[in-house]
Amino acid sequence: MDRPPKITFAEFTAVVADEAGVSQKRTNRFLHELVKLTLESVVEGERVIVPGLGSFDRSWRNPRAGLHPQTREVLEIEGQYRAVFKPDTALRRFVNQKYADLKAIPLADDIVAARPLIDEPMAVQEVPVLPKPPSESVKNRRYWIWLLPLLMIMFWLGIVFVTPSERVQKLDQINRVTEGESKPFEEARGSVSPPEESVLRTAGVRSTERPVTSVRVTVDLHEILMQDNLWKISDFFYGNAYLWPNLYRANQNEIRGPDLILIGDVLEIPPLEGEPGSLTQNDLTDISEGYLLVYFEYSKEDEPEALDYLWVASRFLDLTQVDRASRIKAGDLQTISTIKGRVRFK
Amino acid sequence: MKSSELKNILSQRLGIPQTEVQKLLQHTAISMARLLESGIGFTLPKLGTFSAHTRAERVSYHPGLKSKVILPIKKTILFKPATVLKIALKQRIDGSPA
Repeated sequence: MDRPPKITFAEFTAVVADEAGVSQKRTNRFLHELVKLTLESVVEGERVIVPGLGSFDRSWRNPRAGLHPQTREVLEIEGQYRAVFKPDTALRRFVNQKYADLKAIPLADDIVAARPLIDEPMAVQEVPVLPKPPSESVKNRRYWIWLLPLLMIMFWLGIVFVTPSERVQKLDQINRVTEGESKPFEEARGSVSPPEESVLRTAGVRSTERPVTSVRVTVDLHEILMQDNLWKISDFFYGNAYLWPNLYRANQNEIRGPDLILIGDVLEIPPLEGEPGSLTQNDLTDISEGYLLVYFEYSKEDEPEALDYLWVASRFLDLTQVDRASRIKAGDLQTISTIKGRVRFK
Repeated sequence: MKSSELKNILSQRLGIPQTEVQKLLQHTAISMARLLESGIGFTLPKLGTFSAHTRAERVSYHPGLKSKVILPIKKTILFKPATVLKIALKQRIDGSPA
């Protein structure tokens, strides 16, 4: 039996340092301190929760009888503590994302598995003839067992024969930065590198297929982990937390609200043309639209902060020309005209 | 120990701001998740070894449906404690629960 591949601690440190963009020396020190603190706490019986990873704890195992493997003598094994690790839900979901679509299939008592099991391949072949006719519910379940592969084939055919223009539109919605701003997709085809697999997956395109378009993708994806919020994510990716409404604008159809994101959701991080402090006009327009969207959401709940978001949006947008301008309250427009301040991200 | 306390203590011990500790923790978790998703295991010295094991699909019994079900293939995360941790825990038998 092949052993699963493993990497050394030095290689693991290099991976984390590369991911975090800090030096290996600093990462090494951090990991050692994290391990030391976890070890001390677990030994003392204190549960340690590492966000996004899981929790470490100790549990008590009662004394029990054992058998000596060589002398077959009955031994008494004394009680002892053991270390327990419980992985975080987000981690388990991430690791199982390949199998996320698989569900448990119910079987009737008199039906043997319709597909071969990996552990018991021969059990499926030895199906006895059923003596009595199946009930209505069994018939229905048999019907579904045949229908399921048919639906999967139809779904696969739908992906394969989806028109290239539809795929291009899907990618275009995700990727705003292409090589050559005004270059149409047909012209850009075959000229630049293929999209990343993760982005293809989000776009509904299978990674095993040859990409139809070869738009250069620079969009980052981020899976929501425990204790994440848009403020922190914006600070991490953009270096400025005040740009978080831009994330909300880009993902407003994927998340429930500006203050409600769920662990496991995947956010796309729209790229900026400039840098925080030297943003381009397009960036400012996008960000301001994000601020306006947040204003609409907060004003539904009569949140007092809504006015602040409207004020920021008014700095870079003509509020009389925007979509849904009629939803902006006239009183709010008058109030923000008296506000003086400085925008934190320009 | 909650994650906020963890961050606070690490920040004090390392002498770096909590935001940086948060960033390092987040990237550590992301790196671990990516490695485990790829089926690669790794070891944290004195703590233990993490690895991902694929559990084959199997037939089980669903108590709610009162029927057998085929449970799909799934990846489970394994943690094998290091010897240092096991010995340290063994020395704490005096405080065993009643």
